[in-house]
Amino acid sequence: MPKSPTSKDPKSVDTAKAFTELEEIAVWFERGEKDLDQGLQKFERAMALAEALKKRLTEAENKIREIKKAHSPE
Amino acid sequence: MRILPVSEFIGIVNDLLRETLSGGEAFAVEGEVSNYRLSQGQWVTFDLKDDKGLLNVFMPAWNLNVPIEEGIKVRVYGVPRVYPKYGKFSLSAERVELAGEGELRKALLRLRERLTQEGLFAAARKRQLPRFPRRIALIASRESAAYGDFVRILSERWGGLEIDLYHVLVQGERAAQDIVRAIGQANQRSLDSVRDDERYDALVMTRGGGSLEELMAFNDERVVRAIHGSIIPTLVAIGHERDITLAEEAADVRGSTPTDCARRLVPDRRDVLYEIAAIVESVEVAMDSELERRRNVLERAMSAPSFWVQARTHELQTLQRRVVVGAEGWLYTLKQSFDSCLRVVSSLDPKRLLARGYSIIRDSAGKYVTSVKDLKLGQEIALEMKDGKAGAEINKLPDGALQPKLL
Repeated sequence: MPKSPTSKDPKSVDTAKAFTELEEIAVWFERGEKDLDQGLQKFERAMALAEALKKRLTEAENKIREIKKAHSPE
Repeated sequence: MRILPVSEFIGIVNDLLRETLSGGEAFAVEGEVSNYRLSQGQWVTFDLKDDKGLLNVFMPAWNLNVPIEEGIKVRVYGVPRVYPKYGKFSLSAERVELAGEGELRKALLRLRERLTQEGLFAAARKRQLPRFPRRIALIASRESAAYGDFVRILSERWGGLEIDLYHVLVQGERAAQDIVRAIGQANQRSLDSVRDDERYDALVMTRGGGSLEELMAFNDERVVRAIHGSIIPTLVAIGHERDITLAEEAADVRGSTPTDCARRLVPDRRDVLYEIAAIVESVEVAMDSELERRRNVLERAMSAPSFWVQARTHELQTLQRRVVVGAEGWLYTLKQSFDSCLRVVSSLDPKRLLARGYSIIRDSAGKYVTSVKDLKLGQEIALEMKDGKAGAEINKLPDGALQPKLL
């Protein structure tokens, strides 16, 4: 069972795995399964994953900027 | 009558010869050389002859200052004597001259042939002079213009060269010996030195022009052999217009004049500076391009993380959109199938039939009756029509039905 994507600690999300799962969900919808409940569940999961990933990427960008600044010749 | 022992007799003869000849006019014996021999590097013997007579000549090698070759005409100054030990009559020579300049040329030609055959002038054995000599032995006359010119051009052109001058006589009878001595000294000095920078990089010998007689020392066999045997590479420039001296032929490098000699020995500092500048520049260019290349690699590496984050962000957006669009499509499809199912189901709704004017028949238990076979006469049924219900009783059934009749 993957950890809940809405857990407080963003580091619990393995970005690579999250991307993969997100894509799998997209594929599931494109296949046209009939299970409504599962569909709703998956949709919720997908949006949570996307949110978590967005957060991680923004953090990464900020971190890179910080590091660059720390090592720049000012 | 005297009875004399041999050696005493010879002694008398020798005394007689000496007395007779020393009193009179000075004389020299002229004839053609044949059977020239040098023994142990110290003693020279040859036969002096004309068409009717032959005389043996004997002398120490260091006394001989002219080139003697087979067939050359010479004049010998000396004392005739009979050597007691072998009873041989010889002219003990004090001095030998060539009988005319023609003889000199002939002799030199023959000498040259002889030495060439020995391989002294072979091109294969010539050594190269170092490009940047640090220390040289210079054999020249310190009073000569050649020496002055040479040193001046050297310092103009290069400077910083250590020159050890070995002053020598450059013409006259003693010149050849002097030069040989100097060559020997320079070689010994080089051999003895312990440090590399004390050895001579070259042995330079130079003098200005002159007549054939004046340049005789540089055609002397002893000098040629000394140059040939030098462990230090040799550079010889005897400046004159005509033929090359044998010394120059034996040298590793020949200069045509003392000035040319200087040019062959050292490079022009301007040329070297230019070359250095060119090398420095090409190194700088290479360095710059290498630095540029590395700078590019570094910049690419530096900006890579940001690019990566941007790429991932873009990927995320695309994926998210894909999920949303997928889900919406999925839902829509689901709804569509639901709607069509619903339509099918609704079209089967019994209530629809009522609206169209049909009625539904139920029995008293409420069960649907769909066939006349299920009906009995007198059975009570309920009818449902679009606007309400009604009760009824069966009073007729189709013929052929097995029904009990009330008779």
